[in-house]
Amino acid sequence: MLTYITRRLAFVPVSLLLVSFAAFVILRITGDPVQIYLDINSTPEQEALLRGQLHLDEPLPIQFAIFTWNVLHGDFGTSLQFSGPALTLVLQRLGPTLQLVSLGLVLAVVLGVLAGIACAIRRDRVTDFVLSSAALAGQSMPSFWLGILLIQFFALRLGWLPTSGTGSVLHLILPGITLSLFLMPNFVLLTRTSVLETIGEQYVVTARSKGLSGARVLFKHVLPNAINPVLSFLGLQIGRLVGGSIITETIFAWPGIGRLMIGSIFQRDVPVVIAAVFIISFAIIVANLLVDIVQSLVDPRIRLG
Amino acid sequence: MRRPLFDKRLKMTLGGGIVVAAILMAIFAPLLSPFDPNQQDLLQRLKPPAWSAGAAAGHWLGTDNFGRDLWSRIAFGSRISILVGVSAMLLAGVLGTLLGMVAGYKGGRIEQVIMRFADAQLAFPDFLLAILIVAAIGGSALNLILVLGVSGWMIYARVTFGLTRSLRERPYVEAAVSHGAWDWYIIRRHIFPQLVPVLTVVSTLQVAQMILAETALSFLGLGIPPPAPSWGNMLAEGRDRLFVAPWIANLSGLAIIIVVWGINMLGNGLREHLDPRSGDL
Amino acid sequence: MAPLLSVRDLHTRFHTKRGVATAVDHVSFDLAAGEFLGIVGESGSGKSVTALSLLRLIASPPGEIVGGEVSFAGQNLLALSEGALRHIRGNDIAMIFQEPMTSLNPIYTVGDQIMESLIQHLRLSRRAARDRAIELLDQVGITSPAQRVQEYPHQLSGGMRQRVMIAMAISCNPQILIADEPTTALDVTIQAQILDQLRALQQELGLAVILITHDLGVIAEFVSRVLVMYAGRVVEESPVAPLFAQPLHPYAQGLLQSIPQIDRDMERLESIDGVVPSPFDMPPGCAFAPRCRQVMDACRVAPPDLRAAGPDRRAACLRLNEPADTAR
Repeated sequence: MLTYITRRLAFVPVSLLLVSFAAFVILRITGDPVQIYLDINSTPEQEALLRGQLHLDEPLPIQFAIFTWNVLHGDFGTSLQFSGPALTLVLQRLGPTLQLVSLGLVLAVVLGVLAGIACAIRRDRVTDFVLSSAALAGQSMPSFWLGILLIQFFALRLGWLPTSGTGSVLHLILPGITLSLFLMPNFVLLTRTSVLETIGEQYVVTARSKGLSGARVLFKHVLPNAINPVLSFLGLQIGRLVGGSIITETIFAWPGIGRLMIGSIFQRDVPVVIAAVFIISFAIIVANLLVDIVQSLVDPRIRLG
Repeated sequence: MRRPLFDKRLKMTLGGGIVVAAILMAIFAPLLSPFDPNQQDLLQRLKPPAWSAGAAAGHWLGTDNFGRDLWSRIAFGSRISILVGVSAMLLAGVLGTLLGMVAGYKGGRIEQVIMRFADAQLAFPDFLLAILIVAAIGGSALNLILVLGVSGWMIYARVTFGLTRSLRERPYVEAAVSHGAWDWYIIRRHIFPQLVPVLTVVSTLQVAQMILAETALSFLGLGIPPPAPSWGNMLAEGRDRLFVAPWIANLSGLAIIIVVWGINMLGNGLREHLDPRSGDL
Repeated sequence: MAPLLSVRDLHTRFHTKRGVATAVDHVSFDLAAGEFLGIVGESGSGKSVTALSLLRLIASPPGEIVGGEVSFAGQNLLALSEGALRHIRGNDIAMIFQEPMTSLNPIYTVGDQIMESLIQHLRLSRRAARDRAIELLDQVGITSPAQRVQEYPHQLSGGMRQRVMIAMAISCNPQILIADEPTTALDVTIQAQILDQLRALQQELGLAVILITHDLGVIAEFVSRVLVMYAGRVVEESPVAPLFAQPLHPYAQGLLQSIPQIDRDMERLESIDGVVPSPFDMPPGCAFAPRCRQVMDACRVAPPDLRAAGPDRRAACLRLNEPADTAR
């Protein structure tokens, strides 16, 4: 078990180097940094000075090495729109984003998996038809319109919840629901398929032939096996989660990393954008690692194989 | 055995009908629209649709903040969504299919390079990548097509790779190889035709994904710049007027979900039709 | 003496997209305590579905047990509540299956899976169940059982997994063990070991065993009485020696003509013309009529019932009453 985790951990620096490279490329295709950092009235002397400071006169591989070195030390440069280091700004927004993402993900996985199980054990009955159809329609739902509909109903019409912003637990509810409904349909459909496939396995017949109760067969023999494809899928959904949270934060003016990043893109605040991309990538790597570890805990074939 | 309420024929008819209607709407948008979609009429601002009190004559779906006719904007908006969705799908499809076939056919180091690259890009959020590239090169229909195409090729590569590798082992392909047939001839003659059914299904479903991505980018202000009538732009504008004119956001949202749902239905129906096993699920 | 298990008119069918398929068509037989009974037939003859139907283990949908009676210890298993039936499954009647690769749950140790029955039926503590599981593994011939007990199925060979299945099946001292093609998926040498093991346990524990197989060699060597199944029906029932000496049903005769190649699977019989009829398209009369060389017009009217033909023998053929030499 420990060797498995160590082996997986060894890949983290490699992944980070790749992200660093991608960030560097994006930074360079965004345009001449000097033009971005200085305003239109800058003098050629100022430009030359900055060019030297940013090592732009070095060859590209050296520039990349310097960039990576700085990134490793948490130095992404100074924000152009706010004062202070870009990384600090991004890390300040990490808390709200994690709140939103964890609420959305937990709701989506728990409710989605439960609904998927319900569909599978009530296959081709009304429950299955209603939930599966809703999930299929949900896959076609643009998340931003979903959020806007929720605002109209719960905030504007009923007045139960605030439309947007932050300040209380109530502010988290609508964004959390929006994000979870965006992710949920895939979990419903995947769990349904996975449970139906597992129910047909020979070892389920064995378990029934031993005289175990239906509930015990379902919870002890079917679900732990059916959950593994769902966990693999969870790893793949992390990308969608990032996209979904960027949109959700924008709709609800939630002060997270995604909204900071979109705002910084419009302000051409490149250091903040790069720092945000880096933190998001780091979070994705950690999340994938966690998924792998959980998966290996569930399935001895991965752990020992 | 109970027949599912949504069987494949109903799915294909319903989905196909919506898709055909959307394509006709895009083609005949100028004929369907009573107004120029960008023509402002500040005296007719924020008029509700015909079924609400205070509607303005002629604007049966109402008007937006600048008095532009919503029906005309939705009709013209279908052009952008369908153009970007289909073209991005084609770009991703051509790229991914070619790379997947080459990887599956050649194997070895070429396979390693292509497929590891696909895996690496799959691990990175495609939407975030699209945001960053659009932010760098700017939003336009062409740029959106390029960005979405480049960030979506991996699924085609995965599917094509697996199938090509198994087809490569078939006796008739090995016979063709041993007869010294050219690689491209074999791929065109023996491999690609077998991929067509699967690619049809994947491509259909991908158009829906591409349209959702395009509208999402537009919603964030990273799509085709205003005043172009794109459904995502319209939703973003409507979001700022939710109190006074909720119909702006809701009508454009409705347009998106109907088209995307139709495409998904068509894709699912096609999948059940072309691969009967999946119909059991 | 009353039989231990008595099956009457068992009828199981499957509802599929192509229509309704009758897999088991009014099958009746008895099993005495301590008896070693074989059921032989080609794939699709309904022998496995018969076995699964006895304990109502058919997946439903698409399967459905339409009717019949399975009497055991004064109860009809087909009419019992699910809860009452659970006390019999694994406790009084246990099963082992064809595919040892897939019939063990991959995510639990073999010990856990054996202990599960012990805890369920005998109410043992975990510690006692564990000790008993080690004993059982030892009893079915697994070496270093104390270590094997904590291994996962994928760490064991196919033969060992089938031994684990047997250990699991005998764990609660059942009276009946149903073995559904237990050696089909195994190597020939392992097959013999497993079957020897089964016979040893059968004699040691006084088990009644129903062995389902398509291998006539296995039938000849291990069982004392045979049911021959064809297209969902029992066509002949006989002690093993008379069957091999003089088969009564034309299908059984065809089967035995393929015997010279004793090690060959009889999944397809070349000594009988034609193929098994589709379960969706059964002939109205005797299901074997289209392939039978001795067919008469009366055979195509209604399926013949089993009738007595000598001591402990029954066969479902209209030519039974004719002199033996013309029936040949």
